[in-house]
Amino acid sequence: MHSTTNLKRNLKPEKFSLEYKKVLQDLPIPIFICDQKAMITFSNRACKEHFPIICEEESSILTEDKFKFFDKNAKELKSEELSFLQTIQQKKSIKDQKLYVDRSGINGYTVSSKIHTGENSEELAFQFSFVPLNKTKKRSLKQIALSAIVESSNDAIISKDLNGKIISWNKGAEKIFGYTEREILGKNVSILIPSSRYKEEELILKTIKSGKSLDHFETIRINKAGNEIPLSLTISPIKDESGQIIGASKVGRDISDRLKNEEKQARLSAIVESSDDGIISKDLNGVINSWNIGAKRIFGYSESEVVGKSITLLIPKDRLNEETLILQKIHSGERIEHFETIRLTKNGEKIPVSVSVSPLKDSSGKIIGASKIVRNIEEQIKSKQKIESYVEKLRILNSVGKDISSKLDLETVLQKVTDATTKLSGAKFGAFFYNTQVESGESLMLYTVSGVPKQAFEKIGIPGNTAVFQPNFSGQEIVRIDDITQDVHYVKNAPCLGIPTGHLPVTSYMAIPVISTSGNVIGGLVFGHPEKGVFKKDHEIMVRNIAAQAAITLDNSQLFEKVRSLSEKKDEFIALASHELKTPLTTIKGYLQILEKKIEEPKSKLFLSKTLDQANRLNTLINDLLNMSRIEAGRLEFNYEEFDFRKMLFELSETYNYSESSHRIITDIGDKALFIKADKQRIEQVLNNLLNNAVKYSPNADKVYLKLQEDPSKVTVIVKDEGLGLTPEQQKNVFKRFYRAESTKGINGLGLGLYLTKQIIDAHNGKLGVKSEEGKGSEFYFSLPLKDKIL
Amino acid sequence: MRMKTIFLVEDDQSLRELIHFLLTDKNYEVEAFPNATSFEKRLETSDPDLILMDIMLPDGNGVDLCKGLKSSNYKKEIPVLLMSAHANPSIADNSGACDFIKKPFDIEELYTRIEKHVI
Repeated sequence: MHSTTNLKRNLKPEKFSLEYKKVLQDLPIPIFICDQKAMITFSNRACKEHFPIICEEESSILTEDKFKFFDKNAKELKSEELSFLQTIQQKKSIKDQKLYVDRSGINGYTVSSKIHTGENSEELAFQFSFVPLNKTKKRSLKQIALSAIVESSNDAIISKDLNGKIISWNKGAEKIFGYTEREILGKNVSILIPSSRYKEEELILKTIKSGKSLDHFETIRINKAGNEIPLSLTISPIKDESGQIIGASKVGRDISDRLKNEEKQARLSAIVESSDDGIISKDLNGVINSWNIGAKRIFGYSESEVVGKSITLLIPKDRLNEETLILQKIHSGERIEHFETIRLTKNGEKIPVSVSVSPLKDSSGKIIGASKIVRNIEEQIKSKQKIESYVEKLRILNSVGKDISSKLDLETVLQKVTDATTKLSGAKFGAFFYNTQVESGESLMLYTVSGVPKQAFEKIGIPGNTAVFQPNFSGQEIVRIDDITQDVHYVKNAPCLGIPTGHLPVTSYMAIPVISTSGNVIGGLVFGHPEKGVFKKDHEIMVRNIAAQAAITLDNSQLFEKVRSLSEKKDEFIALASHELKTPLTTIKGYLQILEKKIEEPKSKLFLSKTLDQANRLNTLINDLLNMSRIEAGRLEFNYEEFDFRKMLFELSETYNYSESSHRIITDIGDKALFIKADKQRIEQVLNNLLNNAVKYSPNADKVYLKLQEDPSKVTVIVKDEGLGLTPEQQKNVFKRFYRAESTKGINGLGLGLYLTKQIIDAHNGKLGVKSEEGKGSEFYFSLPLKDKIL
Repeated sequence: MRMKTIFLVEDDQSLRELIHFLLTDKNYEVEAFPNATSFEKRLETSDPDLILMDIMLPDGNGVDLCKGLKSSNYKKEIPVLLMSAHANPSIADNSGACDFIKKPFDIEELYTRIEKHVI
C-alpha cells in the first residue's frame, strides 16, 4: 500500500505516472503543477472547478490579474504579496499562506507548495495545493483520500452495519475472497464465516457494540470457492457524527503465507531443538548467536552462557587456526562437511567432534554468518577403536594359536605367548617366570620378557617368595590388582618388581599361573602397567585361555625336548654302531672270499657261499637301520643322476632269475631306453625291497610279476605276487616303520624295508601304494615323475 | 719291474691284516699304519704309489688328511683311495681322493680300483 507522499518523493517530474495524476485528479483539493517556466502542466478536476481561469493548461501562472485573493482582513492582495508565486523564482517551498477568495474571511484556502526534484536541477516541477479552510469540507476530503487508499490496499477492507450487512468492499477484499463488490454488497458477512465460527462473529459484534476494537485477531474465513483462508482481522466500530456506533470496519490480511512460514519455522526450530547434534549459528566474526539443546548437551554451556560470545570458547588453543580456516571458507561461500576435530567442553574436557559448517545468507544472498552442526563422536571413535582392538586381538589370538600349536621349541613358544599376552592385556610389560626345582625348593626363573629389555627384570632376582607372587606361583589363583601400591602385600614385601628403582613402575598388576594338564605349575605370566586399573576381567579371561593353551603346548614341548635329545642320542648310537658293525663284517667277508677261492672241495665251497650270503644280508640290515635313523633325523642324502630305468629293471630281473631258484620273475617292461633322473642306488634299493618282499611273502608260489607302465608324465612299476596278501588293516600300516603283519610270523625281517621304500619314493616326489586281498597276493606299485619333473 | 708301494691306513687291526695280505698277494709292497700320526710321519720320508685310507681314524679324518695332501706341493700327485663304512660316497666329495670304496667290499672290487689308480 502506498501513500501519496511516498509517490511524490519517488517520482521524477517528467515521469509523473498516470497513476499519480489519477490520484491527484480525484482528490477534492484543487491542485496544479507547473514547470520552472511557470507554465501549467497539470491541474486536477477540483482545480478546474474552483479556479477555471488559472487552470487553462499551457498558460503561465505569472500572467497579470490571474489570481484575485484577499487576506483575512478583506484586503485585496497584490500579485507580489502572493508568496506561492515566489516559489518558482526562488526555487524553494514557501510557507503555507492563507488566502481568501472574497472579503468574508470564511471562504479561503491554505496554499502549500511542493517542489519535485529530478536528477538535475533543471527538471523541477512545482505543485500547488489549495486546501479549503472549511472543516466539514476538509473531513469529506479526508474521507475521499482515505477511500483512495482503501481502494489501492492489498488488505481486504470491509465495512458492515450492526446487523452484519456488508456496506463496503474494496479491491483487496475482492482479491482475497473472490467476490466482486457488486456481488457482495448488501449480503450478510456470515457468508464469509465458517459455520463453526458463527459464535466468533457474535462475540465480534458484541465487542464492536461496546465501542471496542479488535486488533490482529487471527481467524479463518471462507472465500467464494469455499476454501478456508487464514486471516488477521482488525475490527473497529464505525460511529456517526453523534458518536453512535452504526457499524464496523474490518481490515483483513491474508496470513496464509505468513502461517506457512511460521509453521516452517516452528517445524525447523522443533527439529533444531530436538536434535542430538549441537546446532549453533554464528556471525562472520565468530560470535555465537544461537545455541540449541544438543549443543548444551555436548558442551555443557547453556544458551544464555554462550550467545554473544566468540566460538573460540569451544576451541582448544592449539587448534585456533582451524577457526580462521573455517571462517575463510564460509566467507567464500563454501561448506565444510564432517570435519573431525577436538573441542572443549565447559569443564575443559577435550572431546572428539565432527563439525559441518554452512554459510548463512540473508534474503539478498549475502553471507551473514554460519551454521554449525556438531556431533560428539566420542562413542563413535570408541566403538571404532573397540572394533579395531577386537580385530587386532583376534589377529593376535589367531597367530599365537597357530604358533604355539605349530612350534615345539620351548623358548620360541614362551616368547610368543609372552609377547601375545602382553599385547592383548594392554600391559606395558610382561614376563614369563619358569618354575624350576632348585635345592632350596621350588623357585622361579625369569624366562621370557616382552615390552622391556630382560635386564630391567634381572635386578629383581627370584620373586618366588614374596607374598605378591606367592599365590600365583603356587598355582592357587589368578591375581589382578588395579593398584598394587595399595595392596597390603606390596607394602609388606616391596621391592617385589624392582619398583623403587623406577625402571618398572607398576600400578596395575596381573599374574596368571600356567598349569600343565597334570597339575604342575609350569610357571606364571606376570603383567604390569604404570597406570591404575588397566587390567580388566576380559583381559584376565583372554590371558588365562592362552595360558591354558600354552600349558598344553609347553607340556608337549618339554616332552619333545626330551624325545629330541633321546632321539639325537639314538641316531648317534646307530651311526656309530653300524660303522662299528661294518668293519668286522668287511674282514669276515674278505677272509670268506679268500677261502672261497682257495677251497676246491664242493661241499665246503657251498657252505662258504651260504656264509657269504648271510654276511651280505647282515650288511643290508645294518644299512637299513642306518638309513632309518638318518631319515628320522632328516639327514638321508640323495644323489640324483640320469640313467636308463628300463635297463636297470632288466638287469635286476636277470640277476634274480639267475640266482633265485625258488621264484621266476615274469617281466613286462618293454625294451626301449627310458631315462629318468633319480638316486640310482636308492631306486635299486626300492626295487630290491619290493622284489625280495614278493618272493619272501609268497612261499607257496613260484612266480613274481614285474611290470613297467609309461605315461607322458610318469613311469609306474608294479610288483605283483601270488602270496599271502594283506588285510585292509595291514595295508594301512604296511608302510610304517617296524610294522610287521601278524601273519608274517616265521618270516624274518625288521619291518623297515617298506618304510624306507616309502621314504625314498616320497623324496622323489613319487607315489607308493598297495592293492591286495588276503590270501590272493599283493600288488605293490610305485610311480616316479619323468626326468626333470622329479625335483 | 719295480714293485709298487701302497700305504695302507686302517685302525682296525684285523681288517688291516686282511688288506695287507690281499695286496701283498697281488705283489704290491704294503706299508700299513694304524693311525694318522704314524702314517704322516712315514710320509715325510717316502712317497708311495698309492694311499689306501680309512676315513674314520682314531686321531684324524681321512677326508681332511687327503685334502691336506692335495694342497701340498710334494705329495699332491699321489693317488688317494678312501674307504669307509659310511654308505654314502658323497662324503668323499671335494676331498681330492681319486676313488671311494664302500665297506664291506668285494675283494675283486678292491683289486680293480687299486689297479686303476696306482701310478
